[in-house]
Amino acid sequence: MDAAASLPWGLYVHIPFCPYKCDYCDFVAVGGGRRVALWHGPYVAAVRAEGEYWVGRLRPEPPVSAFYGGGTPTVLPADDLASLHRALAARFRLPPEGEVTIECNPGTVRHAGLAVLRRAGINRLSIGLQAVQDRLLTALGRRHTFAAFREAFTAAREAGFGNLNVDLMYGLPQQSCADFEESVCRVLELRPEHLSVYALQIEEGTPFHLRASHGTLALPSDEVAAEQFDCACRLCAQAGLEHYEISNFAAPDRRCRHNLLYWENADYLGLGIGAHSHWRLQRWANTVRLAAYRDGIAAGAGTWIAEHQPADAARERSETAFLGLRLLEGVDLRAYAARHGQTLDAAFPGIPARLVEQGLCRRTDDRLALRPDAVLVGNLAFSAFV
Amino acid sequence: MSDDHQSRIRNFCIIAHIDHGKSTLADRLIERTGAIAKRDMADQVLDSMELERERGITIKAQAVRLEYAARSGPTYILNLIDTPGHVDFHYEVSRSLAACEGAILVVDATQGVEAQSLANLYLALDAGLAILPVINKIDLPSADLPRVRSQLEGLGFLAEEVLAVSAKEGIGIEELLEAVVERVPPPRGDAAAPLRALVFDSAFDAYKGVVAYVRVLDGILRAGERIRLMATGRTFDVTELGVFRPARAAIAELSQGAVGYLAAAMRDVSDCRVGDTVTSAQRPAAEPLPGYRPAKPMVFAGVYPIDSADFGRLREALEKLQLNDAALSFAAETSAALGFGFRCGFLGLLHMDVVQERLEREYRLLLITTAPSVCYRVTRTDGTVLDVDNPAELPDRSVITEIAEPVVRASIFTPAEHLGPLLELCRERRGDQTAMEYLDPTRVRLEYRLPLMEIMFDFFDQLKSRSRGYATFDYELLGYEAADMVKVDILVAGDVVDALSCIVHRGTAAVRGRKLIERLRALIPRQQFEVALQAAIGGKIIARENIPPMRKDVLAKCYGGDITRKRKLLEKQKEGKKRMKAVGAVDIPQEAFMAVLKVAED
Repeated sequence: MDAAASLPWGLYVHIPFCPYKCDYCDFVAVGGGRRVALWHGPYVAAVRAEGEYWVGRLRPEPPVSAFYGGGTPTVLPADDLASLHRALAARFRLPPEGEVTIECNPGTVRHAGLAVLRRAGINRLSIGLQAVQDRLLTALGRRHTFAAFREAFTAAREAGFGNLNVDLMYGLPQQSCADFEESVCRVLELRPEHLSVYALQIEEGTPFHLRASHGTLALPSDEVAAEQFDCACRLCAQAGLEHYEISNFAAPDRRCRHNLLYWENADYLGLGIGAHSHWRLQRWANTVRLAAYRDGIAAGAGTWIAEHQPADAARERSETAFLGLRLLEGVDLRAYAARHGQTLDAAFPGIPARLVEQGLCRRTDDRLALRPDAVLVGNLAFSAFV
Repeated sequence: MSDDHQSRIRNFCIIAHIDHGKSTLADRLIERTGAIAKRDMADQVLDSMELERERGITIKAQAVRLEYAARSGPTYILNLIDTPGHVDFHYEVSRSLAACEGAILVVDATQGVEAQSLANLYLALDAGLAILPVINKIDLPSADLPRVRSQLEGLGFLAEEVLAVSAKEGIGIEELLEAVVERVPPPRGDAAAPLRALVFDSAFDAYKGVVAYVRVLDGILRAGERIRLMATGRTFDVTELGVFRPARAAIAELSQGAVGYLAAAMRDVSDCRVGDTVTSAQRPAAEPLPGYRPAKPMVFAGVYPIDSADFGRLREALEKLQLNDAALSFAAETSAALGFGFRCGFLGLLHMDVVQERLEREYRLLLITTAPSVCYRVTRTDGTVLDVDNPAELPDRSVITEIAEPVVRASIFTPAEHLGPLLELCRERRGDQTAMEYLDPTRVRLEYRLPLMEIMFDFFDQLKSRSRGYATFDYELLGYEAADMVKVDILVAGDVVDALSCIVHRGTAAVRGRKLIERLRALIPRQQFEVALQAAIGGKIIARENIPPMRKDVLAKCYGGDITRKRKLLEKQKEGKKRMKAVGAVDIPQEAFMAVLKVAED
């Protein structure tokens, strides 16, 4: 089974720095100005070296996308980000039409810096807002206001970003349905090309987890959270944003190419600490420690890789299925059979039919998809394929 | 062995409440009698166990033979016999005691007399044993000798009879050994009479078959001889006789008064039940020793494989467990809700837990166990009597004239300050007080007749919580008494789930039904659709709750392509689901089947 060799792929670059850490976040991120100042030079150099390593070793075809995620990538000086991107784009032969996203938080971007990024070829900006009520932002441990977001959004447009995403969250402590509706409305008024709507998840090891386990976090019920989500679906539809993935809405032709690679179970190469890669049926993840990463890159030979999973066709069949079901259009059954050498029904006997019978999925000739009313209980369907 | 030898044998056991220092004291006695020099003790015992383990021999020393040179001159053989500690094993304890002439009653100097020590003391007195009261842990700063002495005097012991020791520090051990020699009577067997040996314990060994621990009462037991077990009537050739010193040592014969083990290629513990009498096949005794009782399960539960394909494996596992657990019974049964499984009988709740855990751990079975029930004696209108150990099988009320339930005699020891709440608890559980006495001004002993079923409904937890953990409890079966019992059925999504049915007293049925439904609502996870839960008595709905449908169960964020983490979360979720039984379209977790045990109080 070598169909994977022809998969499109994307480049992911993890920038783990943040000016501070939010109370719900368990991403690989290091906070505080001093550590950023101390580490950012060596880190960027190590990422470039890792890029060189993979170019030499994998000799990849040009990627379709690049994504600078974090952390908050924009805490690094714009010039440094620009030169990092220019170097990687050149080495990986990124085509000029390729989608290049960078994540940012309000308060970390100014017009001048955004213009530098735009000129370097970065053409999509993803802004983490989460809510428009400053009291909710404070409750999340975020240190920006809605006003700061509006400034960032306007600055991005002025700097030439024609493809903007905004992140919002629902199911937040003390967040009513009206609060969330207000968030969605105020954001849609700005006409972003893309909106991501994530449910708050309480992750172990975060301040929120501690408070939740002590019962001091006033989380809304599942019923309220579900109502909030339905509200987002309704308002986005009215605004012409298509619900194309569980948490994502996009204007026509503005789906996030890079994130689609994850859901299509395509290939990607992750650079930087904590970055994940999927390449020719293998998966691996880099160390989450800065010093170990720097030293590993210096030592060479992939010594910065913390976890590796060898090629496993059965795992791939499962992952193509449950990741594909995250897309509202579902799994392309013909593409599935062509890629894996067997149909979904053959790989998972009886499962697709059962999911249809249970009212979780619908099936057409060439697709198996979640029913829109089952999107929020998607795990019931996904877990049938693990 | 001559009668003179018999006069130099002392057979005794140690009875104690858990943690009062029984095994430390036993270790000290073994060490002091020089069975092993102190510094070598751990090493030697462990070495010999290691060797046995290598050979696959797993039997343990249930009786240790000690040699003690008394101050008066002669050397005595002291056989120290181990007794099981838990209330579930009442009968087994009684058989161990029957192998002895004396018992050391150990009481913790800091804790005083507890229910378990008392329960075993009464058994020992019933068995006619000489009792040596011993206060242990006298080295501890919190030891309260005057209080414990007065408790023992309250039980009828003389002040000068009571010994004070510290097993940990080795204080008073010599005096205790002397007291065993002086105060435990020697065996009084008849060497010339036909062989009679009591089986007081047994174990299964993969190489030797069943190993029986025996006390010879009359006659002589010889290696190679053909023996008959009088209760089962089966005959075997003795392949090995031996004693534990504490290392295992084979010997040629055991004569009257002696204690040891025998192996005879017995394949199944049911061939050789605890309490049975070993006699000679050639020259059998006329009468077996008194007191034999076939192992009798007291509580019953349905045990079902979650995956019905495991039914055969479950049967094999139960058969294997039964080889060395004569008290376990099982019979195939069918449940409309759970499919094919077994109704298993256990000595008590602890025994049930042990069996369930062994099935899951050693045989890697995923199981659903229904709430335990007692066995009801149901008299039908046609006069026939039916034993019902599965609530789902209780006949319709119209054909029943009487239901009788098993009742127990329960002994409770408590600090006097917690007496009120415990009296309340026993009243709630339909208890009849039969005795109440103050051991001293601060400690009370209560005796109640209680329905066995009532002590299964989290009685022990309640006893502990209402006495801040201080009360202790023991029970023994008394017999059957008529009671006004009804069956409560549970309907899930409109269908009766037979495995959730329970038999309860009419007076508490409505309350329990309601609480059970409330509890089930909390225990059964939300499903894709709304699920109605109902409790019914004889077709009449007495309580109803709805489980709202699941609204949100989806992994939102896709973190930088970390698919492995997503997969693990889904796998974990699926694993959780595997632990549940799909009843119709509803997944019911194991805890839900046990919910009835926890609904008695709130």
